[in-house]
Amino acid sequence: MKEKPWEKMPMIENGVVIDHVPTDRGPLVYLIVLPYITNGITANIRTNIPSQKLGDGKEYGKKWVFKIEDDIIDTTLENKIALTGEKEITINRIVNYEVVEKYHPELPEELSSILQCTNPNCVTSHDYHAGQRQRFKLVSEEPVVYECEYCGNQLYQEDIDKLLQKDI
Amino acid sequence: MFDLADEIRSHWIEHEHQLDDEYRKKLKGKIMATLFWEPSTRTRMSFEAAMMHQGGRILGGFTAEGSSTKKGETIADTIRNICGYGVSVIVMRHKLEGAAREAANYAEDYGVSIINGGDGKHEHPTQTLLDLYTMHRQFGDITEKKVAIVGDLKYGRTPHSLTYGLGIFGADVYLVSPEQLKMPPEYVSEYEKTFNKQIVQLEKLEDIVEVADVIYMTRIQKERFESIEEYQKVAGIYKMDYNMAKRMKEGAIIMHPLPRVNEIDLNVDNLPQAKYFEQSQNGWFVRAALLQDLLGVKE
Repeated sequence: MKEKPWEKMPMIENGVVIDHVPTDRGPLVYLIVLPYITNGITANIRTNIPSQKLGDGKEYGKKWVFKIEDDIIDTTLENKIALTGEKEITINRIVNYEVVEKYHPELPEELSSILQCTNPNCVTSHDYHAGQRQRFKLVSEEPVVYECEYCGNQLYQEDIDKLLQKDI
Repeated sequence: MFDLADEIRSHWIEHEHQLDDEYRKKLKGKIMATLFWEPSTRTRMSFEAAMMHQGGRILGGFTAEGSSTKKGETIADTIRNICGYGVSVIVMRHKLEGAAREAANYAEDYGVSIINGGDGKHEHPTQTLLDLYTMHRQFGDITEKKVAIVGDLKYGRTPHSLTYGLGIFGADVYLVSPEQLKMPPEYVSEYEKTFNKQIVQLEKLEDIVEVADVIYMTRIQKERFESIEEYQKVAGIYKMDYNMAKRMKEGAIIMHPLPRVNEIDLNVDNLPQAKYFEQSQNGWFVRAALLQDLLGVKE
């Protein structure tokens, strides 16, 4: 079922549109974006919009769309969105009602923030200085797998999802 | 390194368990600090022997209980202090995984080498060197030799490093463990991806005993279990006894990183298959070669 014209979301003048968020991953992306939009920024979030792109070729899929009236995108937010493992998500930068940039956030090859090692016996979980130097390397994109450079523990999507919600 | 270890070993045997003056000068003026936060017999002593036989000195006496670790000092600070005392190399063992890596982050600034003598249930790379050396001495080329690693493959650090090492040398790896002590999948997939070979995983030692070239027994790591009940479920699950050893094919050997508990019966010790004491002694030949290599000894 296509989106009806009167259901279209209002355009934004300057800011960011995060589009093609699969419906089942909408709540996670909402939690990721939430800290960025609690400071008086206007945001329009619509859930369960029909999406041909997220469909299976026969039926439409469903997506969430985030329209935010400010350029909230920074590297951390890009990385967090990429870490959801949803490759179809697009970030659109809007200036004067025009899309000036549109891209899929890419998984970083190395990461020294956001993730924390889940191995309770990893040195980074106990040693203050080691904990400040955590580093992970991307070992697989599908499925998303990051590896702790200290203990070799691997973080899978389920672990990453929990870490993305941890500080919220 | 194996050639050098062979050279040291031959010299040692030919000179009635002594190294002559030429060797006693190799590491003269070099100091090795031994930082063992966890207990050790063979790793620490063989490193110390390797250093002393080659004219080096030891800065020892460090224990977790008697150090500032008890006061909350981080590995970074401990290492930076020890490096400042003019040591050339530090051998360390720690209960936390990645501890040696953390130490190396800081030792590098001082030009000091860190040798990982075991970090938690993660890795034990110098054990693997002496294990491979022992196989090399027995078989020469170990390509496609069938090596069965038996026992605690989850908590034991030795199997993790050995699996990768065997991959480098082209051996075929068989893992024998109960379901709850299987090797973590990241080590299996690392081997399979890196070396494009499959690992065979089994639960019964009987299924491999007659075809393996090496049966590598390991101790169930009691100290790393979360409860004594969990440990008791698997304690004593694999045992190499006289009759089992006799079923092994000709030329096949039994190895063990030691210490053993009850995995190998005493009456196996004198069989020609039993190589674990020779394996242990090889530890200092290989570590002597490693120290020469790391400390830049020139011919």
